[in-house]
Amino acid sequence: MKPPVLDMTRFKHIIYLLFFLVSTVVIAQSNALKIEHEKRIKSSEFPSLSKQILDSLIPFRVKMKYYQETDGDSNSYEAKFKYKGKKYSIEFFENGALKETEIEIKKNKLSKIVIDSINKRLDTVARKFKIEKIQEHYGPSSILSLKQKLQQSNPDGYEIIVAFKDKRKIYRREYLFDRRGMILEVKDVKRLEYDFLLF
Amino acid sequence: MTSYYFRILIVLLLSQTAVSQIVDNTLFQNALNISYDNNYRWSFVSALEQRSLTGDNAGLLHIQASHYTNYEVGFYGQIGIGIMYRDLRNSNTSELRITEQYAYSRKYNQLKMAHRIRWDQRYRGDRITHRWRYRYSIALPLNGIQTDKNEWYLGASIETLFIAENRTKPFWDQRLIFNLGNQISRNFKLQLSTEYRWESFTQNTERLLFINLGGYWSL
Repeated sequence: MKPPVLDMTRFKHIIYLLFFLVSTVVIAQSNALKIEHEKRIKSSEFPSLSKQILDSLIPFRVKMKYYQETDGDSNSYEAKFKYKGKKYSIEFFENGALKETEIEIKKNKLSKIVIDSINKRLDTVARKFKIEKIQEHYGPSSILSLKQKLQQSNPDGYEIIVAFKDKRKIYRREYLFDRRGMILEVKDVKRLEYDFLLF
Repeated sequence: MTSYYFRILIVLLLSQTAVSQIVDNTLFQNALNISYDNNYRWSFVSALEQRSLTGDNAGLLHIQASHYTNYEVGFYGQIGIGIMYRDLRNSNTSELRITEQYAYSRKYNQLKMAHRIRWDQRYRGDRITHRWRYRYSIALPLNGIQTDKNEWYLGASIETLFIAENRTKPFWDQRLIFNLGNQISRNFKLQLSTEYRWESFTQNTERLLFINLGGYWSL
């Protein structure tokens, strides 16, 4: 059976109308949004105090990248780099002072007691879960104290991204656990879009 | 920073010009994709697309409308079924296409990647063509860990197709795609792509260059 032939002139008009409507709605929506994003910046734009702290903490870094983070009215700075094969992320306040440090680690680096405690808590959230990323978390502290903790691999806690699956939903959350595996903070992770890759 | 992205754009455009010297035809496609994701496991994508030939025989080739329905399986997988209607301007027949696909997509820090396996059944008049396709795609934000508003991203895909039809010798197609996109707003991105196609590359190869401009609107 041959499908019906479309009236091309009408169809073309519908397409143009759709494009026009899309752009209007998109522009209208974009004005109402809160600005919250991470922007790559040059080394020269990074606070000099933060650079001094970085040099005293970890002098031999590789793959250095500098970022500025804006969340509403508040600004912060973040340095990402590699050191001894591990991915580091050190965040600084707007005035350049040390805020927090994260180091990506593998699941098998956690002690059995901690991972059991984390698993037990995550098990109550949904039918299935998968830990996607684990970072050692070091909170605000003095440079000396942080240096000691880093040398001893003695974090204040762990930041973990988890994918959950229940009957109707697949979603992700970011957890901050203390060093014994107790939940300190939970945040929803933005759902990822792959449409432009898949279609 | 802006001039840096313009340089990338110029490189992309120059590469098009360079390749256009050795391709048999250059085609232009524009598309609007609208996706609806209600945060549950179902998602829907509809698209309108138009393809034109450039050069001496310039003109509209076809207009098509498609719809895909997808269901998330596992943590990273997705199965989907799609239907597409294509109105062919230079032929008395039109085309109806039914697609089944499985996709696996993940994000590793900044890098997004996706594998897609697809089976198309293409109906044109009394002809049925089967197309088995595999595509691997990556996308990378050019600023920060994710593509925020007004930021650019780069992407690339490679796709191989095996095409079979009754009473016809089967053949292979190869496609290579480079994308440069901008997140215009939280829900809308605009993407410029150059796509090189080697059609029937084991037999009488036809080389095509596609320049695609696509809008992606998430509801």
